[in-house]
Amino acid sequence: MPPVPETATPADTAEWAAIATVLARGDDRGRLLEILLEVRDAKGGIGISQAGLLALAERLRLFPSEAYEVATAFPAVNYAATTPYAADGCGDLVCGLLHGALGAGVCRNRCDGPRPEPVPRSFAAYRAAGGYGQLGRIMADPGAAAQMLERLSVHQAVGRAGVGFPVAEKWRQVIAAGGTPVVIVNGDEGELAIFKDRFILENDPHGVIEAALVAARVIGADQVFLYVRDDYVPIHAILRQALMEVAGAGLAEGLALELRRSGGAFICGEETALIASLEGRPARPVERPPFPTACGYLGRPTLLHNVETFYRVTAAWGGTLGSPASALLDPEVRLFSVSGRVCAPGPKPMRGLLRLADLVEIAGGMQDGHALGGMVIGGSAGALVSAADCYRPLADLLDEGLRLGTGGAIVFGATDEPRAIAARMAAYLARESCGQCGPCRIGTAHASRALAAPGPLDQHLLEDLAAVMGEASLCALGRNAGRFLGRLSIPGRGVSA
Amino acid sequence: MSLINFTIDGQPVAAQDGQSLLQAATAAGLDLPHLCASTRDGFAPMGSCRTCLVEVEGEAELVPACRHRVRTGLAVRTDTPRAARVRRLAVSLLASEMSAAAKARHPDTPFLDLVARTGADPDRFGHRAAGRPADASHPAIVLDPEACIRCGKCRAGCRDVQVNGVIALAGRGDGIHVTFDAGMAMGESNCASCGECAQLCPTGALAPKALERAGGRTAVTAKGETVCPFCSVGCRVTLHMVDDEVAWAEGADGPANRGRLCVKGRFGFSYLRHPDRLTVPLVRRADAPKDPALALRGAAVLDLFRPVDWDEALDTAARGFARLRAAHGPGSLAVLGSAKGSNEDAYLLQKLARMGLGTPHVDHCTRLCASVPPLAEATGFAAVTAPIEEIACAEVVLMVGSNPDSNHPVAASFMKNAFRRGTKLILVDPGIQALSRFATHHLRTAPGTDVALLSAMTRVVIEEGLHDRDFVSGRLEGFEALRARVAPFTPEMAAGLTGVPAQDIVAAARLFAGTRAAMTFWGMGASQHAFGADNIRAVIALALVCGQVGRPGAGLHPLRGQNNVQGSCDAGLLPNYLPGYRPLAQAGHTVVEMFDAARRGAVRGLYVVGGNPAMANPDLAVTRAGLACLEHLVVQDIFPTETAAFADVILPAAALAERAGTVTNTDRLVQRIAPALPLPGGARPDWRIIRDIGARLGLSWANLTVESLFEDMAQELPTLAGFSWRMMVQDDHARYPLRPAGAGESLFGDDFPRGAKAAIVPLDASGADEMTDADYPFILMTGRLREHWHTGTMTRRSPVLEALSPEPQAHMHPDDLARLGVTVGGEVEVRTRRGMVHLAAMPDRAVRPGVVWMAMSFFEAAANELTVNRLDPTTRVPDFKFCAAAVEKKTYT
Repeated sequence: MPPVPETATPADTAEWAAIATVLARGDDRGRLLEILLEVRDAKGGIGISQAGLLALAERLRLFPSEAYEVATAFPAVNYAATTPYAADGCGDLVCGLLHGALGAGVCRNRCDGPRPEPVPRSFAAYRAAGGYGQLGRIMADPGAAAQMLERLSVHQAVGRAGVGFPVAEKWRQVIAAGGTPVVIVNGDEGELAIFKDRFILENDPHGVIEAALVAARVIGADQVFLYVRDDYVPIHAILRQALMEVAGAGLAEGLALELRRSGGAFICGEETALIASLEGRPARPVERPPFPTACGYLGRPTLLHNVETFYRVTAAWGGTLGSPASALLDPEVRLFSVSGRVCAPGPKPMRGLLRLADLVEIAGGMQDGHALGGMVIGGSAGALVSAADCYRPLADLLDEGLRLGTGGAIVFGATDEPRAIAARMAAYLARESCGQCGPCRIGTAHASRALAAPGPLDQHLLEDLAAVMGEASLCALGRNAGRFLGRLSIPGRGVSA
Repeated sequence: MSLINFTIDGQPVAAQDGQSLLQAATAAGLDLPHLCASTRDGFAPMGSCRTCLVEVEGEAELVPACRHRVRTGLAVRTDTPRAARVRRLAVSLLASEMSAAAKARHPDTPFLDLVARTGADPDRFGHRAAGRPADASHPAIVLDPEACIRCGKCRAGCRDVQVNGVIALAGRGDGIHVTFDAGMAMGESNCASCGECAQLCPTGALAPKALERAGGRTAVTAKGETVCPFCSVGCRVTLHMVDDEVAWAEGADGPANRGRLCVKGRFGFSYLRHPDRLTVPLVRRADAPKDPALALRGAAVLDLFRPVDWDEALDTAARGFARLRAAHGPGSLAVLGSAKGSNEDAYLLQKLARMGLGTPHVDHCTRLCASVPPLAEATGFAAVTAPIEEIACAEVVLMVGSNPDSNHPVAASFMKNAFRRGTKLILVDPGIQALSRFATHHLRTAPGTDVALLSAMTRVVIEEGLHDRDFVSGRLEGFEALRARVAPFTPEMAAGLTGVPAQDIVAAARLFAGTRAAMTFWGMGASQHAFGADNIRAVIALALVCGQVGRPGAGLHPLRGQNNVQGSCDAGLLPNYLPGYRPLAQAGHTVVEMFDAARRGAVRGLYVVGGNPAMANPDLAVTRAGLACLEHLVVQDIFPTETAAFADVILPAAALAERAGTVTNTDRLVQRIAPALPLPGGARPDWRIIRDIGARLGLSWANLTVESLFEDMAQELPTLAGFSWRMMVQDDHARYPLRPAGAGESLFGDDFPRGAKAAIVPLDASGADEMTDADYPFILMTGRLREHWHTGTMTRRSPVLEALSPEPQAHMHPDDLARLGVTVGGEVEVRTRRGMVHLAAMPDRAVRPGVVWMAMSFFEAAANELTVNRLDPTTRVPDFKFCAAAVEKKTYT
């Protein structure tokens, strides 16, 4: 790093010292996002300055443009040009419903309301309950790795990010790709009003870690990333502690374990965008194929599951009972994230949910003065389900094409305007579009404006946008946004007025 | 390679495995709609515009043709209603990115062609609001953000192709935008001004200022293709004329540049129509003194001359030579050519010298680069053993004393492409330069210590047994002598001399020796020393003991300086070789020696064709004194140069872009050129002027043509065996030696032109002429800037280049400047035992403390006033890279 110029102000000098301290912990250019977050933390939440960014780029041998793209693509970096976190309530759907329009800041995902922080199950307690036994067996007996794949197949473990891809199949693809793979635990959980991964991590972190380590052993990985939302601050401490304990117990031999924070961009739920952020690039998806299982992090085969998927993998060997999260070891249990106009929002593990309306009861009933108006099911690009449909058998809705996605259920009241809700969903998608491909960047912006504008909706416009976004977008965010618009424009079921 | 057969809209297409649908379709002559993709070399598909979506039978979703790989049996449909609708909507959406006004401001763009072609409605989704101001901060390129559809093509060109990395697509969502560096204005950024972005931009958002007018782009009235004259890479360039001015230049898809250009190739061509162009022959007025103290240049020179017609000029020129020859013998005459002309010019000029004037004293400015003779000594071949593009197959690159990002920017772009793909770079250079960013090892040697460094690396290789034993025993002479020569150079000892840590020397040596294939480049940082040949010998020795030659990705490549250095040498424009490098027993005077001889009165008549020794030679006071001594000086050029001020006759020549012929680049690629624009006034091609002088000296040259000259060369030069003018007309280019298909581009896999074995030659072991001392404590190094070429005759007459780099600067480490009390914006006086100049001080951390770095291109503070007239014993190159200087803060009195 060049010496501080004589013209530098005390603030510059302090920042440069902060940058130097951060870089002393590692100057791999792939850590650019993490470095920018650490500089922000060192500056008390203020993002790096332009001069600091230039000096940092020089030190990392990056072009200034490369560093600038990363600084401005992740809101959490708090670079001057981007939107900082909302201090207190955001402008997104749930806060908007409950509190009216608030600041334009980025959501901190506290839609489950004030809840006491659970005490995570300790390393000792987890081990005492039989935890890390399976990992130990695999480390002692390499033959157990092949059996594990078989077990996963038999157990029919599937991905829990919405698509339901068989876990064993994914692991096999990574192995078949050859080379030394990488394991990534996706704890970014950027979807609107979803807090299931947080629920798991804050209750039973070691279950997730054991599953990731087992996966690493089975596929022959040498590196494991835990990628966690930047604003899940308490969880960072939980995981750092857990990783130290695991390493201290010799369970991570030959494996590099690293906690990385995400940058507050929903698009990082998309595998290739997440990987880009781990590589020090802006969070922009890359067209598939090739799939990350064959060509992912730094071109290596990459196994990426979200937290819930990893946690549930432990059920293949019986899991570890005794934590509130242990309910998820039953594959029939779904973890709903219930929020909105209910008295007790929060994570709700449910087995055999018959009607969506039952979630309201589980969540303490409707808030005073509100009757059920309907629910947003399946996240920001999900479906608006009417109150009537909420009382119909869920199985029928699923038959008709409803997708539960990652289990989000945002409850709204009878007086809440569906079009306003749709407008907030569209605004969220527009904000979270990475901006790379035309149909998504432009389409989400047009849709958001159209839904928010007064007056009758231009159904023809929505149809055209739905078609081009759904068919032409580069990644699932844009495609799903298109499908969301497509549902809105169905006569009689949409939000036409 | 296996062919893949598939169909597009029912039409059979054969493609190479690994191609995308778009590449295959383009190769088959099908023009699929697309926008952000480019089929040019170096562009990775981005898939951002989504306008190349097609249906593939069996695939549920539409796929982008730019990314989808061809597979046997694919049935691709571009014409289904579904694909057509989605494409139309995607294009309509993109059109809504432009403000309505910007759409009207930029008619006739590739994007609006696509709109029309796809049947999109550009107003379907409205338009973004107006109100974002243009960024006009760059001298030559303007950004109209309201016309930007954010496709990212400019960024791909800047970052992935040219690897300048200035353009950013910053922000996210609808906030994503084109910006420069960390959000700077273009003119304040590190923009290398290669202009790639303005060539690529499909909407006119990034556009050449010269063509942007209110209400739309100025119509280009004519286009013509030529080869760029500004370095040895040999980029093909298409000049865009507006009336009679060169308004813009685009990279043509030439074999050496693949559509790329650098700042000089892009913006340097306006010199062609500069008012200073010589358009009539001139003869010196009888009353005009030849006074070096006048230091005349440009239009001021013309006052000393009177215009004459061509016959009088040619008669005067020829008569002067004939008179001196009769009175003092042919040895009183000398010919100084240039590496900036064509092969035919060079060939005919040496013929004129030898047959017409009868003098052995013929040379040209390649002497001042002199990077090849040690290679010829080692291999028997006076050209690169492998072209630049072989770097794509190299695992490691050793680069000694070269700054290609400034001096060969397009070649540097291909190098940077390789570095980004993982090729490792060992850079030997005292200063920090653009490639330092990519270097695994940047060995920052103290100036003039290359031999010590390279000897130590060679010693490490031999000591550790890392050398290529088969190569050493079967294909190399002089190994034992080399082993003995490098024995004293322990890494620790070399570390003491060079300032490079011993462990870095060892690590670099191991990396170079241990790799499958390494390319070795060197440039004028190695050659331009009084011990330049030794520097290069040490480089070659290291490469040869490691066997890094004659395989894909392994080869020796001196980066030549000027556009036709290779061809001019091949053609025999040298005092020690006849055409085709047939050696002469008695060599004539070299470039610098000619002027020493002129001062002695031994040389009395000189014919300078395209050279400017009054700026380019070392110790200009001495050179100019030599020029003033000449009794008869004929200068043939396109501008009144500093040298022309001493002329008796000035003959107006055509510029390269105005004529036909061939040129040979650093990669041994012979390229044909045709006139891209008409001759100005009475200017004539060099070869024709030379022919007419020859005819006046009694040679029967009346029937010579460019074609006949090329055919003569093809007969006489072994390197051009198999070449013919017809072949050049048909193919426009070919690399010599002609090789059977599939033979690869890296020469000498089996033996060398000199025999079975290459030779490691002992060193001359001469040292620098002048070491620093208390009176002259700084080391002066000279070089070139990216924006200016050679003596600046052409580039300083380009307004854009002049705006980008307007004044001479002494680059010095800020600590040195602080010690001298020089503040930002201050001036310094740089003094050597030969001269003194005043110029602005440029604080530059890239320069080592104790060094002053100056560009040679500025007449106002000519670096060569200061340099030392001391030649390498082998190559006769002057030491431009090392002399002792004093620097003081300039005081105003």
